[in-house]
Amino acid sequence: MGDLRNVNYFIQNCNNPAVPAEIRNNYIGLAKFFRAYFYFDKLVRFGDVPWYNKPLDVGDTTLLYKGRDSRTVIMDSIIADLDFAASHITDISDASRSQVTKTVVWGFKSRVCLFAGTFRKYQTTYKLGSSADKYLKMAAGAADSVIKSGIYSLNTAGDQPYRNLFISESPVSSEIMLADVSSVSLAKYNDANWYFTSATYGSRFSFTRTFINTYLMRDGKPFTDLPGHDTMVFASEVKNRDLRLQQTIRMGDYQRISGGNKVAAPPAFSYTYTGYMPIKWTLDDMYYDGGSLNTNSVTLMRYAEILLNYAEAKAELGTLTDQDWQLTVGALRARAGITGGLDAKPTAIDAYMQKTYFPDVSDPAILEIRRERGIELCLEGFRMDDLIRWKHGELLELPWNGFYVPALNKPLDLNGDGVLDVSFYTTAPSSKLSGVTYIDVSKQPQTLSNGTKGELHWLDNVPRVWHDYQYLYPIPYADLQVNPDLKQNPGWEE
Amino acid sequence: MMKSKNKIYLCLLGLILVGFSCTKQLDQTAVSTATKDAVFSSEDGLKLYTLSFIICCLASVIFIKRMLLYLISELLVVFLIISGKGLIHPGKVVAGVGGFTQCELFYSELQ
Repeated sequence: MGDLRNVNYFIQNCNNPAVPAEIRNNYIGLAKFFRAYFYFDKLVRFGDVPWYNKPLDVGDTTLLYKGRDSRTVIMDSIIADLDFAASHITDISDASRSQVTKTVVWGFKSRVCLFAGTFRKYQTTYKLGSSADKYLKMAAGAADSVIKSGIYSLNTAGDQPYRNLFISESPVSSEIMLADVSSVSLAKYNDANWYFTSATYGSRFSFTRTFINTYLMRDGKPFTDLPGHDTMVFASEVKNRDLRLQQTIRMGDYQRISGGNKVAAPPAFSYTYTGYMPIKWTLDDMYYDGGSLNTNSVTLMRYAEILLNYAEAKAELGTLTDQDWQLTVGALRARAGITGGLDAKPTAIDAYMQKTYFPDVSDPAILEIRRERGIELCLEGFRMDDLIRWKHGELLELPWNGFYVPALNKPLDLNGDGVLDVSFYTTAPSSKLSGVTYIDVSKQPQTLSNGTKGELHWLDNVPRVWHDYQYLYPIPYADLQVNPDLKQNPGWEE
Repeated sequence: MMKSKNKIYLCLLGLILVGFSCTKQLDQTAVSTATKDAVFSSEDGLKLYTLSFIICCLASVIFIKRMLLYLISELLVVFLIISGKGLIHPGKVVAGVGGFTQCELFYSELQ
């Protein structure tokens, strides 16, 4: 709450007439944007929270120990702050992509309102459904303001236009709207390589096969419609897919740089559990792997998200047109090398998406927009919020599955370079091939779905159970000690 | 080769220049607290203050978002441990041990 006090202190004291009102309001607008940012994070996490719009002093005991305000009050207050910010921030664009501008405020408003609108529509126990459309219209309107500004476009430059958004030192200004900018000259780095390559520092993040299956074929058809897709080995299943796949995970001819030399880099089983190893945020040079050395800027908001916010809000409102589809999902898929289904919104349900992920959704466009969000925005901080607003926390119970292993003790060439990379066994082989990683699948935590063949599975023996009260986090114990009137969220009481 | 005497003259000249150039700063009186006027009476002050919001407001969210929230989804294999309280899985967080800020991703403790 110290951050909030800092913002409120600024707003309360930014009233010196020596500074022209327009300039003061520009900075008050910035402050209100950050207050909205602060409260949106709290709203998603805790639901109701106490709203404070002035700095508190030690004597303000009534306010200090008050209970929580309802999520409707918080959301209305967030929107009021964002509207003020959008009206009074004077810069519409910032070349460095490190400053909050009018378009960033619109973009954030589209994110906030999409959350509010879909949350109210799908989280029916709150009985706020009647106001869902109001927020969906605001989401579409705010996204439309960004689109109509004409400042941004999808990046199509370079041989990997998608991945370049995440590995460039300077934010790719055509598409990136706001970034946490790295700087070699200012020694401002991040530790993405360390996290995504170290077996001990990071959490060995590995995509599940269930998700990888959602990447379309290059012709726009579902991979899961292919006969025998479920028993395809890794080197085969990744071919002819949405180009974002090869710019998101290690596959094919992906190479790293070691001591200035390019080296083949198949998925490393010293790191990945499933075979699907992320490269979205990692730099190719291994120099960056061992510490906080990364020089790539970290994206906080980009145009692709705004397009998806627009498409989803309009689809939820039932007003999505073919033209909207072309502008949004169609454009994103075109950049990803997909050739089919770009011009008109889909009319047929994809059975895999519906059955595996969203059985309650019968609108083909909404299903496809959700597919697109998962793929386009993976590893960018949206998924958990998406599951909350769609009321699909139970997806966290899905098994942690990996690529298909056709047989034990048969080393696999994962990247098609003629070199064997990994072998799976239940009884350790008497002799091992040099350069091959051997993985024991005889017992937990790593097994095969059919014992001697099948999908890799990780930690099947540890149950993961979802309860709906977990859509909200618990109020921190220390805060409840200080102010019992905050009251614990339902289901989290001791 | 420059004579030693000339080198000394040059050094003295340099020191004098440095001394004069620093006068403005050296003449300022040190203060123990910042006044409101120092911040709110100029655009530069307002700009400096609002720049701090990036650090205080976004930094924590960036850290949490990047290192925790988005990773706890069904797309990824990942573990969530709440500080010192044992293994927590997505969807099975122990009640009463604290909130979000006490969470951290940490795999190696599992092994």
